[in-house]
Amino acid sequence: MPDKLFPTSLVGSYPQPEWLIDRARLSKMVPRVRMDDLWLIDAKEREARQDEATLLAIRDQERAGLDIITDGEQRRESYSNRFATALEGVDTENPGSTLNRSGKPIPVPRVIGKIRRRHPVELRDLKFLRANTEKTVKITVPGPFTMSKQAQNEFYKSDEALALDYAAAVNDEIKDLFAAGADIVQLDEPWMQQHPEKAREYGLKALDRALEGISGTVAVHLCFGYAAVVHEKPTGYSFLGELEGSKAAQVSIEAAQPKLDLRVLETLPSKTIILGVIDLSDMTVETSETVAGRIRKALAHVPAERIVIAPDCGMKYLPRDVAYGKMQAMVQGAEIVRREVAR
Amino acid sequence: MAKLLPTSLVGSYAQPDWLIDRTRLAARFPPRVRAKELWRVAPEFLRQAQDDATLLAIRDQERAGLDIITDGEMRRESYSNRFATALEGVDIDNPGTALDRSGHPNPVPRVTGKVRRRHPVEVDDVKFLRANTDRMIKMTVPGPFTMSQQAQNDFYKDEEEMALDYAAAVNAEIRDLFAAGADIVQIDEPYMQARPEKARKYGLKALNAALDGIKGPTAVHICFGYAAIIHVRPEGYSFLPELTGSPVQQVSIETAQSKLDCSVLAKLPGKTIILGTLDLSDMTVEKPETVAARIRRALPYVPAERIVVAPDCGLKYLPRDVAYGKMCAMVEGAAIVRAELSK
Repeated sequence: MPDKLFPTSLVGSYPQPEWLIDRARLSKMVPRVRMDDLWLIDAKEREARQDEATLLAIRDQERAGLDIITDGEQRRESYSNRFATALEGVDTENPGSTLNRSGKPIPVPRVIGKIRRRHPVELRDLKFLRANTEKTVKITVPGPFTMSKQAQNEFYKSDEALALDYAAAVNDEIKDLFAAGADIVQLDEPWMQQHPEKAREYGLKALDRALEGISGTVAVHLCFGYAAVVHEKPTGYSFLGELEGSKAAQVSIEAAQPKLDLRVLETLPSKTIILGVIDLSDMTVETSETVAGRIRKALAHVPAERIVIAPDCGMKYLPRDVAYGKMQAMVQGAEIVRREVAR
Repeated sequence: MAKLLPTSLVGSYAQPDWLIDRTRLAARFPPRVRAKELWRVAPEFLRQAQDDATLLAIRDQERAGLDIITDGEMRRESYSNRFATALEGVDIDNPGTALDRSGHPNPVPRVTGKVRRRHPVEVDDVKFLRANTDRMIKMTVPGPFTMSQQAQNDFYKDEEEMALDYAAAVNAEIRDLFAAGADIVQIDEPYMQARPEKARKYGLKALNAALDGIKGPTAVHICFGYAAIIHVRPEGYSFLPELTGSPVQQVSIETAQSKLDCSVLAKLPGKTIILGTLDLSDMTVEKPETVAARIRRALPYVPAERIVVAPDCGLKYLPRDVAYGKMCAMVEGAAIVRAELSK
């Protein structure tokens, strides 16, 4: 783990190259089932190109000076579908339908049997990441609650039972990821923000089931949706303080674009905050001073020792040069405040 | 004081298989006219793919610890054809024929008019390299003599006149490369070794014309041909001491595979020797000690202050993991001898 104040990190994803995936179509929707035809090369050759894109994402993060490195999720069509569609019990060929967070119906995996993890899904990805950087590494897994909401339940008596089986699958995956060298595993649970009542009802329970017996550092990411897809953002979370009761050590939130009232962070007194300081709706690269200003605002509510500096969300949909520039601004902004705090 | 025994590639690094068809590339003579069919990425994304491959080549060199960085020649089908086919006065649609150094006929540009540089060819490449590394950078350009041998002369009265016009084109390019930030420009003249009599007759004159008025540090590379293509090696150069008659500061030679009698280096007083210490016919990665021993063989004939440690030739045809391993061995081998010298 980086031994300094304000270590910097992505949330998860980094822009994918245009020679890998059809970015124009990708930005139109967030797939929940597989969208094989988004890739520009057939399955046989795809992995080699995904590896290459991953190396590129790692090297960009290193060069920008990030302290915690992800694989940039170069192998994924969306943050969740690679894992969600690899599970037993789901039919992805004949998908069901659910409303996305904008209220539009989208195809989702149809749950027709007991959810089980057939085999490790992201293990090779993590090993590849571990083998290609000396820095602290983080890998993301979709959260059980979010997966249960991005599915059509035709098997389980209750959504809670469905979520708990997703949680067991995630639990298996997290154990394998830590065993293979992950320093941090992050669960992406954006739909906890979208369905706060259900999240309170059984989302936390599912999260805790996913973390059962895990001793490594786990983060949970909650957000208002991709800036490229969701345009209206509230200024406060509907579900956040509840995470204080979870076993996750870190909570990743977006604060820049929604101009979040950061007093809410006081409701998470035991958690490390992965603080979103990069506005992903704005294609202008922030100045380092803007980033520093956003960090300073959090200091009134969270001690410096419990802050990790990050973008609001994944950078998947940004032009790569903008994403790179924003990472640099983030690193420089963190350095400004680090020096101020050290005085 | 400058670091003793800095390390550098000769020029090329292994191109990724997803970018170019390596099997077909290795199964033929190096292209002298264009071979666009070798590229595996759609034309509209090829530029980004070549940029990304270049980034990865840069990062691999940095990660291995090299002191002088090249762009790995990721955008080139061969070391010479990108430049040679961009010139005015050559017909590449109706190519001619010339004998390769192996004695086999190979399609080559047909010179049908006065050879002139239409526009800068590698300036964008050097700018990209300059923008993406903080280390010292080197660019390679094909030499005028070699280009004149890889062409069918249907225009000039004599080959010398043609070589001198190639030299003027190279001269203009070198000036632009230095202006755009190159630290070192290397002229690749392997055919001076393949055609020593002609090289003596007008090759040196052409080389000197290419260097006319150039102030920045320049190198010339002379070799026995790619190990992957030319299998037999003499133990000595047929053309080398003649380079004392050139203002070029650095001479890049192969010594590892050929087990060169390094006493010939004493005949290049004042020149910095870019010493080939990696045998590119052997897919086993050298031990650092093997590299160190190859460096030590040169020390009786060249002061350490005038040695740059390099592979024998370009790494283009090597599997990338082998190429990377050999770079690491080279860096470690140089460190061994550097430590001995500082005792």
